[in-house]
Amino acid sequence: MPEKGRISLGQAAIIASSFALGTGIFVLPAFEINWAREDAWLIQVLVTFPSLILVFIVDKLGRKFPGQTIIQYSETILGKYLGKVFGFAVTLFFFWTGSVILYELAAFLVSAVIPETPMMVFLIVSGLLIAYTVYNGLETIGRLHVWFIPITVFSLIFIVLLACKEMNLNYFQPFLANGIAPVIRGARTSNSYHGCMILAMAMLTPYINKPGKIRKSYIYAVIVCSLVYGINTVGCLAVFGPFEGGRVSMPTIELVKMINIADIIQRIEVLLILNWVGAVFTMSTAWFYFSVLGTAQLFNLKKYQFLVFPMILGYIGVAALNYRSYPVFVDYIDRIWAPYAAVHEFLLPAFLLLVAIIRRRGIKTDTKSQGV
Amino acid sequence: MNKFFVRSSLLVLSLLLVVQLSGCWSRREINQLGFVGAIAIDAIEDSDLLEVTVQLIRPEALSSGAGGGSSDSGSKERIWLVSAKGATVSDAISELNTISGDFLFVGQLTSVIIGEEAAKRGVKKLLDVFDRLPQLRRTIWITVTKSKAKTILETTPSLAGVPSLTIEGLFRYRGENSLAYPSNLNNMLIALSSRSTSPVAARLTVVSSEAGEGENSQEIKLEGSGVFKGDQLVGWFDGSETRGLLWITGKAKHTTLTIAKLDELEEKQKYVSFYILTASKKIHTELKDQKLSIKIKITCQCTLIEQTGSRDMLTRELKLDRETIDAFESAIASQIKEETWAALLKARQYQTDVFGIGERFYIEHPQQFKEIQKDWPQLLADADFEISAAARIRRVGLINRSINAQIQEIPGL
Repeated sequence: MPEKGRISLGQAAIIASSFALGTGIFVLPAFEINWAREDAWLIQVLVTFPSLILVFIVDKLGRKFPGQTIIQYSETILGKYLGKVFGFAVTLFFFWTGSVILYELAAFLVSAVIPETPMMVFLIVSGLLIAYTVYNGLETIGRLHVWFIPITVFSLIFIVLLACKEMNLNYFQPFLANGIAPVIRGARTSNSYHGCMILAMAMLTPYINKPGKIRKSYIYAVIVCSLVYGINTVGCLAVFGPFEGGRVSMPTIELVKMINIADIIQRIEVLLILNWVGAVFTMSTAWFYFSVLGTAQLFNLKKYQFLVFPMILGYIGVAALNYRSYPVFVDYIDRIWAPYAAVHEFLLPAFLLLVAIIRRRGIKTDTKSQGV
Repeated sequence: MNKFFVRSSLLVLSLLLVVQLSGCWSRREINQLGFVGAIAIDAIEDSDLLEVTVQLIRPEALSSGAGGGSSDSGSKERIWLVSAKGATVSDAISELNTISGDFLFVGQLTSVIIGEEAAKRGVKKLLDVFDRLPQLRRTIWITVTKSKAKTILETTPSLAGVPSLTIEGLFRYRGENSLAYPSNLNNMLIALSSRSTSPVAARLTVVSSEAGEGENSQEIKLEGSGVFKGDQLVGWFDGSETRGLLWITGKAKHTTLTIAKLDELEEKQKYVSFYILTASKKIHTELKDQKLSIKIKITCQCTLIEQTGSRDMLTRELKLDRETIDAFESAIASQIKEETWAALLKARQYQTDVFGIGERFYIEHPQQFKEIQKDWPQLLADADFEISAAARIRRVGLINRSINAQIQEIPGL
């Protein structure tokens, strides 16, 4: 097995939620409000349910195949060749999306903070840092997340609270004036962001020191993630309204810029930028780690460390070359990535479980005897 | 040997890091920055071009003139007005870079002033750049002026000496009289992108006041507002009409209302002043047979701050004088109603919905609104309004009875 480290339940939950949180905090409100307008807040309520169902599926798969990640048990379930194809698809998804996240990190810094520095500088510097972190293994990544994610979550909540003065609750009315269809359309991207957590869970399950109790901590991860997204969306919608909120590219940044409390607490976007770098860096680290781990497991390697540096070059390369500009990225995320991700996150684990049950693979599990 | 190699390479690496401490890549020292405090945009006659005037502040001015600028002449040197022409705002500003030795830093921009002619041609195309630039925030003030916008920046206000700082201060304490609309960029853009609401921008005017020794100084006045239809300026609200608008939109903060006392017993005209603590509104809309009826209810809480009449809320026997209280409260209510009506009638004349009544109608009747969205301005102009206002006096200051209500008593009676 390429990874020797073990992490605790809490660390696993935090890695899983960070797997979706980082960039979602910044870009998701715009997607949600753009489609769902007044009902954008409803999206986070809706998308929690598919994720919760998938937690049960992934948990079930984890119990059937203890000590195996999704890459490994897809081979056990589907046979060698089809299983490898599935494993490759998941690994490619990790690799591809991770490089999107790296692009987002650099794109934001270039367009909003340090416009004169070439984007390549950010890509290479953060890419090398990611490589170094991943080289040191899962335990390092776990500790890194435990540091960064609570800071991100609490400062986000703090920011939304500070912006209360600018809020107008009329922007939440009327309720479902255009029916549920726009809400579901707006939920697409958000749903895919949520689903990322499921794949992270499927990859992390064998490395948790108490494998019996994972379901509960994963459910917490999903709910915390929905809550954080929900608070953020509500804040952005209440300050910018149903049209402006969907027009700006990163409403959360604009929200922070609006904060001015008695001329004392103002211009605090530095806080958020710090946050952004931390959150997106940890997020990208986790994605890169899973793509490296996935590759190692795909080829049954004993160690994954030597893959890190060749793969980070590809990672940086994809991030640098793939998107010409931010609008290209927005178009990609909303129209292409969301369905692409949904296939991997939702259909794939469900399909695996179905086949596993039909072909009677894995250990027979009784959920009740093992406790939740 | 290996250990030595690692250690020495670490030493070299850490020495290399020291090089970075000497400065940042694209640093800009404060003395190389020209702080753009305010931007005035004017349309040029018979041409599509814009004239953009930028007020640059030297950093010393921001330290409230404590240094060398103690005399009035000093304040003139602290700012620099410079104009350029261009097809877009950023085009004109980049033109300015050819004559400015300092880097134009827009991060401290507080206000944008749009001249009447430019505002009549539409503000959407002027505001895009302010929305887009990452250095700017949505709290900058968007104002309009009846004359050329440049004239506002040409003044030297007595107190701050710098027009942009004065405008910022005027907006900061705008809540004390509620005579100007809080038209920051966010409010403007929300109105511009909404379904039916048209934006309102605060109005700046230049007034002259006596500065002693026969000299007149030019001051900036923030009162009233420019009313838009779509994104084009169509008319003006004066101060009290703007306050009427603020009552309806629920944006009114504090204000002082002075009312001629309606008391037939008193031979001279007497006045009462109230300070509004809070105000709130409720709007209810209904559409029946293509006839819109709108009910607006405004409630406010206020303090009695000054009165010159002989009747007070407490009698000499410390008994509550209900009649007087009712008279006061209904006087405030009718004053509010009057201002509200004035704003509504003026807006009806311009056929524009600056109150957000359309948004309210959408909240209450979303399906109906979709059918009538096109005809909304016409429907609103023909609508029946029913306005009611209620006021409550909550505080009276630290006296029970006014000195004006005090009659000299005969001792022992």
